[in-house]
Amino acid sequence: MRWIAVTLCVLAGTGLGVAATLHSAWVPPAAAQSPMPAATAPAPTASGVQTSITQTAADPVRVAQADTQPAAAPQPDETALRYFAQQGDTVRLQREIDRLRALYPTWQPPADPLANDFVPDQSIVRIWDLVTAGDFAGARAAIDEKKAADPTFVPTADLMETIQRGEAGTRLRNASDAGQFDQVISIAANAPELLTCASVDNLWRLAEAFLKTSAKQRGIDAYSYILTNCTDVAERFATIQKAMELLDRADLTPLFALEKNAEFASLRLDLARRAIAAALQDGGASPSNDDIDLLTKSAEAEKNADDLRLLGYLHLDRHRPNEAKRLFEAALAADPSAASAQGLGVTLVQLNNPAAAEAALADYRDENDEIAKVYRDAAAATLAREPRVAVSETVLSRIVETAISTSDAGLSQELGWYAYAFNQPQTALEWFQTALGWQADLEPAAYGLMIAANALGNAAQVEEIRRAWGGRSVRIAQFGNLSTVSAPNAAVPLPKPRPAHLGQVQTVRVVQQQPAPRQTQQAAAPSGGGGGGGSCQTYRPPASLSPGGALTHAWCLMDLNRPAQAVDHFGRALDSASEATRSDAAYGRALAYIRLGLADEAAVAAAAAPVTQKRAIELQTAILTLKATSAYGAGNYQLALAMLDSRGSFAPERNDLLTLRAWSYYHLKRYREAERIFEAVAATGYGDAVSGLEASRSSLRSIQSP
Amino acid sequence: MRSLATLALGAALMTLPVQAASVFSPEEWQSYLAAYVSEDGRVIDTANGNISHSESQGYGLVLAALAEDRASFDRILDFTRDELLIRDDGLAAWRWEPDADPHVTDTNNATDGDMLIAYGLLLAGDLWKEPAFTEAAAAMARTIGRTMLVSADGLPAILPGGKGFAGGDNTAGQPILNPSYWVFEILPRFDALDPVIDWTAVGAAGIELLHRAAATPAGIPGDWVVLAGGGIGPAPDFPAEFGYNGIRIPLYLMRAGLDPALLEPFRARASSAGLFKIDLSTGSAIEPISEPGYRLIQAAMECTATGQTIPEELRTLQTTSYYAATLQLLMLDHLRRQRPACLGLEAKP
Repeated sequence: MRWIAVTLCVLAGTGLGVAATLHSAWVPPAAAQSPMPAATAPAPTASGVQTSITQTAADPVRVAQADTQPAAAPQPDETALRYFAQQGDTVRLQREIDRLRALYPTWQPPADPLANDFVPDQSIVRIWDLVTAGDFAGARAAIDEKKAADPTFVPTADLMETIQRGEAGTRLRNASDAGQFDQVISIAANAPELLTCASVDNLWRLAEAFLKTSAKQRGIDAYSYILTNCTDVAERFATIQKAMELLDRADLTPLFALEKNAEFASLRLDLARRAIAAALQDGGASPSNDDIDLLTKSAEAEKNADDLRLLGYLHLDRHRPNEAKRLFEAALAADPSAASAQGLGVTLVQLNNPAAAEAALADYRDENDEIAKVYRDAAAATLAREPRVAVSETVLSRIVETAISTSDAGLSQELGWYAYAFNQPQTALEWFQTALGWQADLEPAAYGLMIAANALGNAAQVEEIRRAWGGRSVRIAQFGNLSTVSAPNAAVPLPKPRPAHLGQVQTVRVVQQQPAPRQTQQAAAPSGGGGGGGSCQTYRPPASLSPGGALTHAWCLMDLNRPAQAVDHFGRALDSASEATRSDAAYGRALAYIRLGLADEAAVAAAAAPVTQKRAIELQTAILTLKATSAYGAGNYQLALAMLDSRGSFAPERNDLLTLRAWSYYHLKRYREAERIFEAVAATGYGDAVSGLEASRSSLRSIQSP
Repeated sequence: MRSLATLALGAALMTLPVQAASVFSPEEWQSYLAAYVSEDGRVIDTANGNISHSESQGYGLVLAALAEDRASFDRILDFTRDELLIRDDGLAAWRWEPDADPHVTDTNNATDGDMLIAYGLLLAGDLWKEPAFTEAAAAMARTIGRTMLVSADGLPAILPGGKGFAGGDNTAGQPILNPSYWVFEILPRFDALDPVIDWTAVGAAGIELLHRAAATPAGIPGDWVVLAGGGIGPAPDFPAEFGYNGIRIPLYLMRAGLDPALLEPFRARASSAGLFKIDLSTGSAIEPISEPGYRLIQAAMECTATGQTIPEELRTLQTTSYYAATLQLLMLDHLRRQRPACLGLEAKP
């Protein structure tokens, strides 16, 4: 009776349009003459009607091939009748007797339908062979042929119904394959006999058609019908799999509730797995604790390395690195592979144990580009540990080997700082040169080269680097100028008449007192609000973070005034699918470059993603400010003025910049213009303009007097 | 002009042949079936990678009805229904490929294919007194009339398919049309089936389109055209050619019994050497269209204009290709019923 229920549900749920009319108009005339079993109630057996429908299709074939009884031409074909008798299906036997009586009023049913005295009609056997082979057109042709030969021949209802059902099934599959879902629903509504457990594929296709035509509840009902009524284990399993492809998690709950004997356990795990994987996507929702517990229990029991790694990354993403470490170690034990080592390595770096990370990753570092990058990050962090720690010969040699074989400028530069920290300035100088050879625009390497050259007393090289880089890097331009305040974005360094000499001896001494000049300098000037910096104190390779996580980390680094690291983390955040995250990342990366004094890089970074108008103006102003001060520092006063002019279209000129402008005029011997500006700025009480005013007037006097 | 055209079509209604017994010989019909129709009712386009389409199935149904072959009609219909008539709107998916899975490789429709299928059902409904066929035809005709007509330069025109023909910037918003989709003999039948749609006006638009083409240098329309500003031009992104599509137009005009004057431009572009693909910009011949099935159309035009009888070798079916053979049978059906003198036969009583 349930079979009828779904039939009615399908019929009731369909908006039958032209297509349905078309179809119903097409009941083939031959079939229309015969009573349709579909029109009568299916046998109400307790075991489920759908099974008996299936048998109908197959019955007469076997009977026709097995039974024997002479069939006189005007006699009805008793094939089906004999079969039902043999099967003990008294209900269908009686129905077939009634049908034949109606067609042949003089016919008497056999006294003993089980008697073994029936000769099969070979032409009917052939028709059924065609039907079971799915050749419905051939079967119809054979029926026409038999009718032509025997005008009294009337095909049985079972035969015609089976052909029709087969044809409707073909149409349903074709419409489904072609994505014509209204048509699928229409065909199913007109041929409910298709919707049985024996043809579960039809039910799956109908469910899909409902779901794809916004009839979600009907789709769920169709799956529920299968899970309530059908018993084939593989098909029940596949039913949930199909539902999982088309339904949201919440809509799957009532279907899972129809589980028998824990048959869907592995699919529940799949759901948990999906939820956890989704959580690792940018902006993904947190998985439930149930999901985590379920998958953890299974992963640990089964030693499933994929699941252990997935869970490891989840914990890593949720800032539970110790838990992540435990899982990645289990994964590595179960599956000693690059994938497992990579997770463990990333976690150990996050746990501020880069040496252990380097060791875990070392064996796998050549397996693929991704792990190679993680390894180099870990190696760099190993070298950069503070306070400096000497690494073993073995470790150092494989780091060196990696830096050379991969031409990694960053790692090479880190080797330079490492050598410098251990008082090997010549070695350091060579590594910095190597780094610049691989990446000519790597400012930290140029800076390192400058410091190493300075330590070696090579003033000419120091100045050469200043000439080459001064326009691009404030810290290089101002190297040795002790009065310089770092963090150039906070305040423009007060311009002075460019001195002919720098206090080099003093600088060297300062530098030598501090083994890690880069880090020292950075830590020396935390710009405002460093309080929230705790979460990024330990180094985390950008690739180990989600784009969103990397963004947070980058801002934290900015708070700690570590713009060089923040650049990389903002870079990772640019991988985000979220436009807001990318915009924020581009803005932050540009700010970080500005803080590093790298105006050109800042301009490129700002263009990586659209930023708001307000931020664009802020960046543009800062970049031009930087370019103006760099140009001034490098002695290019025309350029400095041009940059200030450009800046003027974004923001008013502050006193310090007006002073810079005036000094530029001064150096270009445009003393009148210089004097006028110094005068105006000094009048506002800006004391730094006073010396400029005096210098300008003095110069004016000296050119006027001779 | 338009009212004249309407009159011409109205007159055609009066002269439409009442179907009598089939004029195909059993041998020629069997040779057609053997060459192009598979056991499972698929009508195969042999010159086109052995694919099938709604047009081939439609022609197959029409010819099976004209041949009065119920068994073949049923199997062609079974295939058409189960494999192509699967669209949500009840029209046919147009393209079916034997080696593809799923076989339907484009669910767009081709309106002439839909019209031919419906027409085949109508003929079958009449012949075998099957109301189910007539009802199915009416349902398709209603859907075609309600969804596949379009205003083209103010005329009610046949949209060649549901997708891809609406036109755009390069057609000034005018739809792309195919003049050979006006199967004129079908239009009065649709008009009778569906009083809501003015199929007579659609027919008049088809004739207006030919009049417009007559005023162009080539005198005949391209296979794909756009109407605008009272004129007609080749559709962009299609070859500016009269070819294998348009070759059917004179056949349809003759079968529908329309004004023989409409045939003149087509006749003028043929020569003693036969029919040609025509470059519309110059009116010059590109290449011959030479299979017997096509040459019969030219010979029929000559006979209609001058009374010259049709050469012996074109009077019986030659199964050179699906398309040529199909057009030849449709032409022979018309000539044997309506113009037996052209074939050197006595008029039937």
